Amino acid sequence: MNTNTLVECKNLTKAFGGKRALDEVNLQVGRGKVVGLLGPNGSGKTTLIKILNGLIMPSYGEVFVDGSRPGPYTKSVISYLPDKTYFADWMKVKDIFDLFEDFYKDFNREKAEDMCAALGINPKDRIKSMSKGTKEKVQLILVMSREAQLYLLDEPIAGVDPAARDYILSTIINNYNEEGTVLISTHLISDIERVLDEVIFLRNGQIIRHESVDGIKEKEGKSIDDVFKDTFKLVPYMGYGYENEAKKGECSSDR
Amino acid sequence: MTGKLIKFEFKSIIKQIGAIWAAVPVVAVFCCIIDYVFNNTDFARNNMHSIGSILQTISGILYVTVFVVLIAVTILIILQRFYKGLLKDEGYLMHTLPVKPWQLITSKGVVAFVVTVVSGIVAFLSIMILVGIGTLPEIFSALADAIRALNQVPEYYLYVFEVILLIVLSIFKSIYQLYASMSIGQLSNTHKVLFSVLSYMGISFVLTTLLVIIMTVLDSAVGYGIAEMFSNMEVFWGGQLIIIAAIVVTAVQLIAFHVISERLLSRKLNLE
Amino acid sequence: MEWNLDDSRSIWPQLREQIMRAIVAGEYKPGDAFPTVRDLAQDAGVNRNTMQRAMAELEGDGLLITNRTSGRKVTDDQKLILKIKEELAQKNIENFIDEMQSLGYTAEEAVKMAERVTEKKGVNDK
Repeated sequence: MNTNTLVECKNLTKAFGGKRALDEVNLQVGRGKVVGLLGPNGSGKTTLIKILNGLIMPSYGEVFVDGSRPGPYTKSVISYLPDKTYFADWMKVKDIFDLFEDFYKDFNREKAEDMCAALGINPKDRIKSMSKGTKEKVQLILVMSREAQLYLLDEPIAGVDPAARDYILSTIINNYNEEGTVLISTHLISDIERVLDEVIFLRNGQIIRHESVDGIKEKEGKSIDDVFKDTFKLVPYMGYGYENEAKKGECSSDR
Repeated sequence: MTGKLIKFEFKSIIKQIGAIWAAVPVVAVFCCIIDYVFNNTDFARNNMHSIGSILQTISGILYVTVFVVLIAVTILIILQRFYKGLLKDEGYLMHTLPVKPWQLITSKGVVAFVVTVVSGIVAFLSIMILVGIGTLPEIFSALADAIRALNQVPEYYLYVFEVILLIVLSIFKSIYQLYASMSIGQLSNTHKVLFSVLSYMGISFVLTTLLVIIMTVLDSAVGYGIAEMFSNMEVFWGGQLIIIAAIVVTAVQLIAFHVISERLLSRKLNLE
Repeated sequence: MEWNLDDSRSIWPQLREQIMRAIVAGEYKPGDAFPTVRDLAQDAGVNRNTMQRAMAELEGDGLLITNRTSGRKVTDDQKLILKIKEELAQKNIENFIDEMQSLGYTAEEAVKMAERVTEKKGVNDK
């Protein structure tokens, strides 16, 4: 089962109503990498992540994680950080640790407890009474306390202050299982590009670029953030009669 | 894994429901004591009549309140643990556990069943307390009579077994009808709750209609009518026919509801 | 240590260069034990693959030695360190001269000017 490919998508398509959130995606991601899944809002990042972890089914096409279709096995090797908090009102930190210990063999409770202690979080605290930021940190601790094969992190640094951002990023890069791969979706690239090995650019449900960070920098001599901005440049309306050169160029390079 | 899910499920509700399970009999005992004090002591009867009736009214209202709360919380737990636990944000946690959707549904169903049964027992006990502990011996002797009567015609033990089975199946069926309705309702992107309610009504309507159609068809198929058929049968076998039919119909519905919920949650889960 | 990374270029060559400077400048002494990939990656805020690559290159350069039992250490080879130090110095001087030439000075003028400035700076330092 330990082939070099960890994630494989073949013609993966997901339509909601008439709109294609993912459009014939073909993708292979190896092991031991930190990969950025980059694209503007609505480009299909969350849909791809949800298909990988089995929360939604593709309309057609296939997906394999560690050689298996999404199911209990893949869920046991995927550690998922959703873009919202999933705690119920009754839960204490301890209860959710119990749950993870029961269901995930790779959950390292001691590590999770240490990480909580470092933040001054008492495992007997009720999660309901915590601030949004603390809840998100508890969730991150749960996710990064597993020795998973694939970490799926959906917008881990969206809407947090710079101090929390640093905490989140260093927690991720210092705690992931080195044989595993981390897939981080975000549109805040300048903050994370330094930790990435590879990037995937998504636009309108299609992968328009999948390359190593070093490769892109060598070719373009620019930061990933700048390359991203160039790729997804939106040209504002400049007034009647204005010859929109950039837009014309963009359309032709599109096809 | 299902066992672990059930354990987790119990943990999530026990504080809420446990408090009410404890409160109902306590309030019932309280009512009994008030009643006893003001009816059976001469002093109270003669000197505190008005206070007594006020206290009795208050304790009565208190009992009715906790009783209603018991029923309401039981139903609410059944609905919420499924809706909030699998179809809202908590669904992100539950559906990414390394288990299959049927295990999630089953764990919810088993716990909902136990909660329903225990709530029923608690309600029954509290009524027994109110009616008076004194009636317990009467109930036991009635039970003993019934068992003696049964021993005379042992084949009627079959009925006891079948009735219990039917009750269990019916409770499960009712719970799973709620689950199936919510699983259909969550398909809506905008009005999940409304669609769940409509689905529930729709399912009930379809089932009633189906039952009427089947009965009519059967009635004419038998030729001389179902009522006629039963009157020609021995009582024992006529009863058996009815109860087995009821069991089969309930079981079929239960299975259908489970399959609907399972298929929808595994193929069409719609967490926003 | 202080890291100064430019996102428009690949990260690992910058790490390599900055570690190299730290060794040459004596921040890490010859023969000293060297921090792990993990610790240095954490310090620089980069992922371990990137730091691993920089360290592998430094091993290729001979500046770092990996010993199966005692871990990674800085080379004892003082000559090599000196040689790299001189290479770095030479590159800096070349850059300086290039820069001055682009301003319109000749190499000689540039050197004279450098002397004058250092003298002045030396006085100021006292």
